[in-house]
This record gives sequence, C-alpha cells and structure tokens, in this order.
Amino acid sequence: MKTLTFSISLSILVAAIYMFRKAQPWGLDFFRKSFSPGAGGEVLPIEAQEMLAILTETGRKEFSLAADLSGDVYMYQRTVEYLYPYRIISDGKVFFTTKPTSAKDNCREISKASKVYLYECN
Amino acid sequence: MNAINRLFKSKLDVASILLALNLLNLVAWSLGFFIHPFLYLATLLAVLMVRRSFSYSSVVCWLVSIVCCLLVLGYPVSAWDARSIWFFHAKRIFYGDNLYAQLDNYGSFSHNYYPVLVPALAASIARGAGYWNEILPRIAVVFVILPPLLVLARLVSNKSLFNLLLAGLLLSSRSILINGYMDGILAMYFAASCVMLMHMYTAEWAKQGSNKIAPDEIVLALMSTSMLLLKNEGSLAALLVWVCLLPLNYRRWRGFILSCLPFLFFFLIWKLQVSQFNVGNDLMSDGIFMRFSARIKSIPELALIGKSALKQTWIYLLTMFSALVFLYRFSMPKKLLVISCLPLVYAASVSMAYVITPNDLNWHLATSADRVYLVFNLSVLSVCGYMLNFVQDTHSNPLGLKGSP
Repeated sequence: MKTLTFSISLSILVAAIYMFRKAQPWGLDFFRKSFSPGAGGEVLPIEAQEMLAILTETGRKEFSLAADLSGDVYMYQRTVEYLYPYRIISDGKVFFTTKPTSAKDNCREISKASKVYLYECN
Repeated sequence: MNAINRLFKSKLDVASILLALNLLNLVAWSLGFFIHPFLYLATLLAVLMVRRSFSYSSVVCWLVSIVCCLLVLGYPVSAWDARSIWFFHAKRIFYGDNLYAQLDNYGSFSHNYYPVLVPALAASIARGAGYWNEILPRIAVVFVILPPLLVLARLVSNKSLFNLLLAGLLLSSRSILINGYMDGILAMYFAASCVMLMHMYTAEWAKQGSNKIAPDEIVLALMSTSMLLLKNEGSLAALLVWVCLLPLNYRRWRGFILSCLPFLFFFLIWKLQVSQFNVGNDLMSDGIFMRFSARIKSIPELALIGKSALKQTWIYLLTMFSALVFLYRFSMPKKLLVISCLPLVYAASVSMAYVITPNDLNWHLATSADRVYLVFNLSVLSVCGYMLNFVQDTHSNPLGLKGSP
C-alpha cells in the first residue's frame, strides 16, 4: 500500500515536471547558442536588432528615437534595454526612424536597414 | 561557531550556504567586485562531498533544478517585466560595474528603486562568462530558487507528500517560476518561510525557550533578507514573518536581534542608496491618500479587486479551509493553525497595492494578479503539505503514506 502510494505520488511529480516543461518556451537553437556572446536577440523586434547592428557599425554611443518608434511602448522599452549600454537621449540630433519621409531638410541619412533608418541633423 | 556546527547537523547547510552566497554577492558588488559562479559551484561541491548522505527529497530538488537549468538555457529572457526591469537592471550592473548603476534613473519605466538580488547574481554569471547575452544570465533564477526548495525538502520529510507538494508547486507556478519574474521566486521564499515558522513553533528549542540561536532561525533570517531584496512585496512578506517571530523571541534577545538583522542589512545595502539618489516609488507617489480614499469608497472597484483575487485563489482557498477542517480533527497545535493563516494575511495586505495603484485598475489587475497572488497559492500548498506531514509524523500513519527517509 505504502509503495503504491509512493509510486502514484512519484508519477504525479513526473507528470508535473513534464507539464512544467511544456509551459516553458524552448528551442534547441537557443540552447546551442546559450554560451555565445550577444546570443538571444532574435526574440526581440527586428527594428531593435537592426538598431543595435547600426550602432555597432557606426560606433555611436547615444541616439534618439523618432515619434514612430518612441510612441510604441513595447518598442521603446525593448530599445532602451536591448541596446544598452547605447543610450537614448532627447536632443534628437541623431535619431532612428522607420519613416524616412519624417526626416527634415537639414538631416542626412547615416545608415539604413530593412526597417529602420539612422539620420543625423544639424 | 556552535550555531554553524548545529546548522551543518540540521541538514540545512546547503540551503543556508546558497542563501548566504547570494547575499554576499550583493555585498561584493557594492564593494566593487563579485562572487564568481565557479566559487558557488566549488563551495557547493565541497559541502556535498563533506555531507555525503542525501535525502530522497533533496535529490529530487537537485534534479528539478537541473531540469530548470536546461529549460532556462533553451530560450532568451522574453517576459515583459523580466526584460524591462530585472534583466535590464542586471545588464546595468554588468556594464556599469556597479550595484547602484540603475539609480541614475535612466529608463525610468524600469522601476529603478526595485532591489537587485537576482539582477546582481545574473550580472555575476555574465561577468563570470565574460560577456552578456540574453540567455545565460537567467540561470540566476535557478540559483535563487534552489534554497527554499531544499528548505521545503528538509521540513516536508515524507517522500510521498513531498512529491505531491513539489508537483503542486510546479503546476501552480507554470512559467512564472523561471521566466525571470520575481513573483514566483518570492512565492517560493514566503512558502518556505511559513513552513519554517510552523516548524520552529513545534521545535524542542522553542518549547524550552533557549536563548541560543537555532539553525532554523539563521535560515529564516537569510530567507527574510532575500525576500526583502527580491522585490518590493518582499518587505511585506518579511514583516509578517518578523511579527510571527515576536512570540517566539519573547525574552530571547539573541533571537530578537537576529530577526531584526535582515531589515538592517536591507536598509544599509539598498534603501539608504535609493534614498540618497532620490529615486521615486510610483506606487507611493503624490496623491496616494486621495487614490486610497477614492477607491476605498468605490464599491465597484473594490468588487473588481475582490473578484480578481478570488479568481486567482479560489481553489487554494478551498484547499486551505478543507485542510484546516481536516487537520483540526487531529488536534493540531493551535499555534500552527494560526500561522497557517499567514498566506491569507499576506494576500489581504498585498491587495492594498491595487487600492492605491496610480495605474488603471483593470489594466493593473489583468497584467499582474496571477503573479501577485501566486505567493498566496504556493504558500497555501506548502503549509498544507507541512501540516499533513506533521500529522503523519505525530499520529500513527493516518494518511497511509510511505514514511520519512
């Protein structure tokens, strides 16, 4: 009787661990990359990934976001935390946008990717 | 030294060493260095080699922790608050090389006044690896979850009951336990603290009123300190534990001082710095009394909070009351029955956060009630598990379960 009770409880625990595992998102690719520098950015918006690539390429440490990016709370927070130690400042001279038409006449395009553009204004 | 010797003999050594290392890491960061993850592993290995004998429950805890490690390494941090708050703070400590880096209030959405026990550990792991990525630092949550699990394993000694308790904890917490939120972790700490309190009230040293520090008290003090440094609600949890310790510490000045130390440590290592940098708490922002008085008079809003709380906890409330009625038959000590209501006091108190919230109430409840009341749910399961274990130990196997290891 006691062994049966123990076996049942152990089965319930194993089932719980299995269900717990099913509740977690998991990917073999991520597991393989888990010890690589910078890995895991793929789950973030493509715009944030592209901004990081542009900042790394151009070597700029500070930037601003145009209203089309900063107005989206999710995008804004992901940009702030994922791009850190690159910092967002509010002077707006060097800024990212998804809409190149929003750039003023005195601004020039520094870099672009599929979703975002980096502009510098005088 | 005697207290430490007794700690080793009490089989709470691994849990207490892990708890102490987590806190020491915080102190180390505040002094400009960190505890290397290999030091954690080496210390654990040394203790395990000295110990050599392991209970079934502790082996299960280690296995579950290994499963958690594998799960954590299989996906980047992706939950909203985990990224925007906890692992952003970890990243700030890592790049800023400073425990208080976030106190410049950059990214104010990140609630920069939140304490940093897990972020500091995540930063140590990243520093140990030599780089930051979005996957590896989350393994810090497993380092933090393991101690309360080991405490529960020690106190719920019946194998079958522990299997069922652990199954209940995993199923109830779902993804919240290891997704990078602090709520699941706080829930585990509060659950283990409630069970430890119940254990202390029935312990021989407490009955004798000995002034010596017991191992249980050291572990509880370490867990209280951890709760204070996990997240803001941890202050409420630690305060409730402290209040419950008052009757035990009556005429025991050493125990009383030990029970106060977590608050002193929390103040010195975190609160003092936060107040110096003047980083604000949005919940306590201007108009708190106006919000309180407006909402406390609003029956629909109070009903909304109550409905949300009941939706998250009804099954655990029923479990708790059924267990209490069942256990009353076995003439449980009244003190245990009183302490078993501690999760209920916590749930009622934490609901006040919704009464004073500056955010839209519907939004706040929808985005956080499942996490906030998880502390109640896991604590109820653990308390019920311990009480059944107590009945099993003190009566002649009334539940017909396989005995203690």
